[in-house]
Amino acid sequence: MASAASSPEETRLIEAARSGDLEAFNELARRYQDRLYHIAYRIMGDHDSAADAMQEALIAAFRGIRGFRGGSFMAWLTRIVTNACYDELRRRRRRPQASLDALFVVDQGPEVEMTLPPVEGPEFYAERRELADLLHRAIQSLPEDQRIVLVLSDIEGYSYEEIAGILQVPLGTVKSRLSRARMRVRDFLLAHRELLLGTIRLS
Amino acid sequence: MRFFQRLEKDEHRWVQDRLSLYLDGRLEPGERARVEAHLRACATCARSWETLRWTVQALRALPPVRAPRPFLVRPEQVARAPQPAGWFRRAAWAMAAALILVLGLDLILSAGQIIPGPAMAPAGIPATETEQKALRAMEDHAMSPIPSPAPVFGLAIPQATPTATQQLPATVELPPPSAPAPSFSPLRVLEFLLLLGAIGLLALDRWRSQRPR
Repeated sequence: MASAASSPEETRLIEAARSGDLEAFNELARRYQDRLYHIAYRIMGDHDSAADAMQEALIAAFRGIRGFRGGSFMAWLTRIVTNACYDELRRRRRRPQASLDALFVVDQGPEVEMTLPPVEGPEFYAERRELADLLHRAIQSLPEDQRIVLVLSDIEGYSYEEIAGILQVPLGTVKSRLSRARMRVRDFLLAHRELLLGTIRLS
Repeated sequence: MRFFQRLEKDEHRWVQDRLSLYLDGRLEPGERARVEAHLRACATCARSWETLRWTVQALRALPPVRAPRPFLVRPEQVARAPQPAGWFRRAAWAMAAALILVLGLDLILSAGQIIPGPAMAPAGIPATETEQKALRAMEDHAMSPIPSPAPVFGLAIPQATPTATQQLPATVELPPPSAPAPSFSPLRVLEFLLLLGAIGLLALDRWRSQRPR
């Protein structure tokens, strides 16, 4: 889904950007900014940090565009955005902020039968705003490495191989991080099931 | 009995570890059959599978978050684009300049000697003690414009940028000119190291300019 070789028009824009044409680069950025921003937002957790990471990433992308060697331009940009997010998170670690979710210990509690509503279509979240918020918190509770893999896979739809390429890690690492991340998000939801009342029927 | 309990526990764990791959259809047929057989037989793992699949579906259906404003790069933000890569290149040029100076010095010194300098002496030729003494004397003579080991850098570097001066001592490990290595002229070693350093710095510069971040 996420990868596609560049179209002729895109190739022309990339070539122009490589020779220093900022307008051409901004046109490329405009095409991908919503998807890139969504990635940054899910990794960083808030709009301010996501915007900072985006801005830094795009500047770095323009400066480093000579390093783009074909393939999916979106995947290349994604790599730069995730790098910018890593940098931003590292900076944030140096001035640690107390986070309740970070201290949160997953406890599934006793087995409770839940009736899970079928997840269908974009209207699923129309009446479940709180579920979307809870999922967002669940993503934020993940360790960075797992969070980034989860966002690239389950939010952006990249394949295992593409993620391995973007993050420059072995395929096995992608698989294990994703598996652990999904389990933790699931456990987070189960541990907060009281917040899901009305969203998920408990029986 | 405990052995079988343990086996069963291992099987649960084995299946749990593969549910994510199973969800993505990334298991080999044999593994897939094993997971499916276990899920049919084990209610706990079946429940775990159901909640995991639901969670991933819910994640995938999360509504997209659009960029709140256009993110464009302004010319002033990239006006000093070549700057970050410039340091390595400047250091490389400084090294190249130093190399030319040392080469020049070497040339002058070897032109001054009618007999080939110590570095030219074939290592295989046996030398008497007197000859060796003479060679060392010659070498000392050749080194005379350079007062001590450290200031060798001083010859070239004043022409270079100040940043390069700080870089050089770390990069170039020069054996003292008086080191007892008669078959190797310290000048040659210095030339070699400078060449190596310049090439290395240019490569670093290229790598940095092409790296996205």
